[in-house]
Amino acid sequence: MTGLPPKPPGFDRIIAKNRSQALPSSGDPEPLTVAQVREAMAKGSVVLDARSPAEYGEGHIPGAVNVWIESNPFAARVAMMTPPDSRFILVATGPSDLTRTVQGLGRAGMDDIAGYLQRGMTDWKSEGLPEARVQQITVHDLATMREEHPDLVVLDVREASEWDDGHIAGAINIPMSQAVERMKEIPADRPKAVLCAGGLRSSSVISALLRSGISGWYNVAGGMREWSKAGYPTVKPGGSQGGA
Amino acid sequence: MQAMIFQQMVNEDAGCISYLIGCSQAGEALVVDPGRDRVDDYGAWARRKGLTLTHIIETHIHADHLSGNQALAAKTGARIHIHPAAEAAYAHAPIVDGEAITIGTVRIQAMHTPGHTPDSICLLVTDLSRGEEPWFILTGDTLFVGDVGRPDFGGERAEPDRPAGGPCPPSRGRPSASSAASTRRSRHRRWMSSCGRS
Repeated sequence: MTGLPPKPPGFDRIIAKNRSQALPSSGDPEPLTVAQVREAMAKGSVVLDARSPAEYGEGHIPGAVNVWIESNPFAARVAMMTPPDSRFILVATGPSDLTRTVQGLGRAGMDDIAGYLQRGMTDWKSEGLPEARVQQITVHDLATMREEHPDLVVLDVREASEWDDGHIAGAINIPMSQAVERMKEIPADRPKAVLCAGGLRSSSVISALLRSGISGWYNVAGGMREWSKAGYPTVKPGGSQGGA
Repeated sequence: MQAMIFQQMVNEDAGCISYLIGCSQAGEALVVDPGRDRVDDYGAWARRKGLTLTHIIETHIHADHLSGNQALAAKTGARIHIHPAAEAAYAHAPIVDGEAITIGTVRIQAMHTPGHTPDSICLLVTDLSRGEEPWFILTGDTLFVGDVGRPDFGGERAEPDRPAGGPCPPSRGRPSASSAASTRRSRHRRWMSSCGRS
C-alpha cells in the first residue's frame, strides 16, 4: 500500500494500551491560577494552547504549543508537536472547548493534565506577564512580501504528496511531522512565512519551533487553499506550471 | 412490531463511529467499538430505550484512540468480545470467524478479515424477523470510502513472519463477496482518519 501518510507518533502506545488493562480516565481538569501555571511550567509542564491560530497569534503564553481543537486529527498532532509523556497545562476558548480538549487528549491516552489556565489569557494579561505573538498574514501579503523581501523563506509543512500536487516556487518542504527534528534546515536568521493547506498545521509548527528558540515567523492564514483560490501560481515537481 | 434497533453514534471530534444494536423485545443491546470518551452516552442511550447492554464487540485493536470497552463493561456488566489475534490482556470472550451473538431477533456474526490489523473482524448483521439473509455488514476499519484501512497499524507484534517493509499478505476474508448482494455496508469512519490514506 503506497502513499501512506506518516504513522502518527504515539500510535504504538495507544495499541499497547488497548491491549492491556485500562487505567481510569482522568477526571475534570483543575483550574489553575497564573502562579500555579508558572510553577507547573517551571517543573516541565507543556502549555497546550487549543485556541485558533488567530487567537494564539494575537497573544499566547511564551512556549505554548498551538493545536486548535478543530484540527483533524487533533490528538495525533498534539503527540507530534510535544515530547512523549508530556504533562499539559491547557489554554482553551471557553468551557466546551476545554472539555473537548480533555476528551481529545484522553482518547489518545494523554491523561497527564496539570490543569487549565482559569479565564484563559485574561488572567495572564492582568498579571502583566509578557505574551508572545505570531503575525498572521494573508496570501496577498505573502505574494507582496515575496517580491519585496527576497530573503523571505517560504516553508511549506504539508506532506510530500500534497507538495507534489502543487506548491509555491522557491518554497522549502518540511512536513509537519518532521519539522522539529529537521529544524536545522531552516534558516534561523531570516524571516519565515509558514504555510500548509489551510493554516492550522503551520501554526502548530511555528509554535513548536518558537518553543525550540527559533523566531521570525509569519503564519499564512488560509494556506495553499487560499493561495490557489486567489489565482497565484504554483509549480509541480518536474517543472509544470499550475494555478494562475 | 419492529424489534430490531440499530443506531449509529458518530464522534465528530474523533472521526470515529460506534454502533448500538439491540432488540426491543429482548430488552438487550450490544455496542460495537465503544470510544473511551463516549462511555456515558452509550449508557444513556440504553436507559432511554429501556435496554440492558449485554455485549461489547471490538472490530479490532484501535491505533488512534483508546477503547471504552473496559469502562463500559465495568459500568454495565456487558461482556467484551474481541478476536484472539488482538492478544487482549483484559477479561474478554474471544470471538472467532463464523461465531455469532444473538440478541432477541438480531444475529451478529463475526467474519475474520485480517488486513488493517491481524485481528480485524467484520460483523454480518441479520434481522431474523425479516429472514435468514444478512441485512448489512459492519466493516470496522477494513474498508474506507473508496479505499481500505492502512495495514501498518497492527503494532510491533503484528506481523512476525514478514520482514520489515515486505509485502502485505493478502486478506483472507472478502466481506463484500461472501455476503449477499443485497447486504449493505456500513463503515466506521467519516471524514479524515489517521487509519486510512487520507
